[in-house]
Amino acid sequence: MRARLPVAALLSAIAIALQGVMAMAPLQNIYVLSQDDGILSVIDTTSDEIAAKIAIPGKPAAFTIDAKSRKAFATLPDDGEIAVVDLDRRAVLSTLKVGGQPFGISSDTAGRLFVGDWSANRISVIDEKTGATEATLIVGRAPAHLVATRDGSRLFVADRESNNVAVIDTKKLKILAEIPVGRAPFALALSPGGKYLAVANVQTANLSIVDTTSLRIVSTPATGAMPYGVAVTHDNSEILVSNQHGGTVSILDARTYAPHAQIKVGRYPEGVAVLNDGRKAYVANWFSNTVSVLDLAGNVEIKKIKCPSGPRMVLAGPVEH
Amino acid sequence: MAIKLRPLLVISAVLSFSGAAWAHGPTPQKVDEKITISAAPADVWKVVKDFGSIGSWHPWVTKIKVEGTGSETTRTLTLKSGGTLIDSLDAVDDKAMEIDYRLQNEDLKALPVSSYSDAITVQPAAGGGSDVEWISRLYRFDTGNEPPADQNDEAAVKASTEYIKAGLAGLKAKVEGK
Repeated sequence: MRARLPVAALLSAIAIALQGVMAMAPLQNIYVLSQDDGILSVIDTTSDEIAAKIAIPGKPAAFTIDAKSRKAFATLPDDGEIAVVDLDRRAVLSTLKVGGQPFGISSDTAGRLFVGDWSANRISVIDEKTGATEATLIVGRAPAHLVATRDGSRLFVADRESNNVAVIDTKKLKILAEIPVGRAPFALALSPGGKYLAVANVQTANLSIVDTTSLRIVSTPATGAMPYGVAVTHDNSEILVSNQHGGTVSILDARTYAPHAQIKVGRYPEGVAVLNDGRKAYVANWFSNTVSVLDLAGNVEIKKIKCPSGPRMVLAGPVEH
Repeated sequence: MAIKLRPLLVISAVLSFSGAAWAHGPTPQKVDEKITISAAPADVWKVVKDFGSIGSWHPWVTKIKVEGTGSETTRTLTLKSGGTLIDSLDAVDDKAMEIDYRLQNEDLKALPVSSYSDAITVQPAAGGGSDVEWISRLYRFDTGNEPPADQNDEAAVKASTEYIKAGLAGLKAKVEGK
């Protein structure tokens, strides 16, 4: 009996440790949105194969995932609509009629959607359940991608034609700052703790790193030509940038901004996403109709997955229930 | 502002398909053209990598002005139509034999596009000689939701394909000395 106790204790310790590991890095799927074919593909990140293809009527440009409601929301700029996708049923549930030319989209944990209208230079706050517009705000010209903090209190918008990033207080519905960045900012990534924002400037081939407290630019590291996608690893150690010209992904140290590696991927890479466990990243190669799987330990491309035509955006999200 | 439930989704799909013939959204378009040239890749690359050489091999180009150096290089092309294209150089990769550049202006008289970013690559051809591939990512001239027929996606892809094909044929003729 005395000998058994330590074994039982050890077993329960192992069980707790295992739970801890699983809680730290739950399994994630990768979701890839193909604009030309109108398909949201689900990639199983264990096999790195497409497990499902969800048809979205129209040409979806961008999407966001609300991990809480387990839904994806894809903008349809041609139709002035947002498609609502149930990630468990893997089907489109409904479309929200928002009008205009919705492009960039982000969500918060309170069930709100933030949607940019590319040609009307407007941001709308939308209730994801009812589709009702709660508020609108005029920003700079051609709002491209936008990103909200987890609690939705702050929203950052890349105004592509105005060459700035708008910082919005979503409670007061006020623009706090319009920060001049490089030419043609398009993609944004907020660091996991929200301390800084990485802005990819397409025409100046660099990033603007914005301190989200002081709202000042702390660094402008160089990228490859035409950076179109950006992501920060979950542990805040690296920044990944896709370079459309040359077809590469640059990996920068998130503290020094020094380049660690440049990995050749497919043609005209755009969206990039990293799994929370930090082991792999996924890049949408728009021209090649593939998704590159990158091993971040060795900084090498380990696979190209064929996908529907026109992949532009990838996100890591929950596995289906 | 209203939610459409499932039965209505079918109707919405039908409506958007009927509209598709005249109203595409701001979706980037692809052009991908290739030609095989009877010359060593290094000889073809020598011509292609010279950003200002297009004036000597593209049959549509009547005048060219190159300004700046390095990543600040631009070229202003005057076309037979009287239209102007201003390209800015992004990258020249000797190892990959790839040159990348993008459009800086909009001129409906030149091409019905609002922007393009192009890449030309030279590779050894399977049967000897060189394969030259010219790819383009472009947006139509009118990126609003109801562009006129001469400014929609089809018009942009058609005109760009013709421009690129004529360029590749001209490059082949120049390098092959015909």
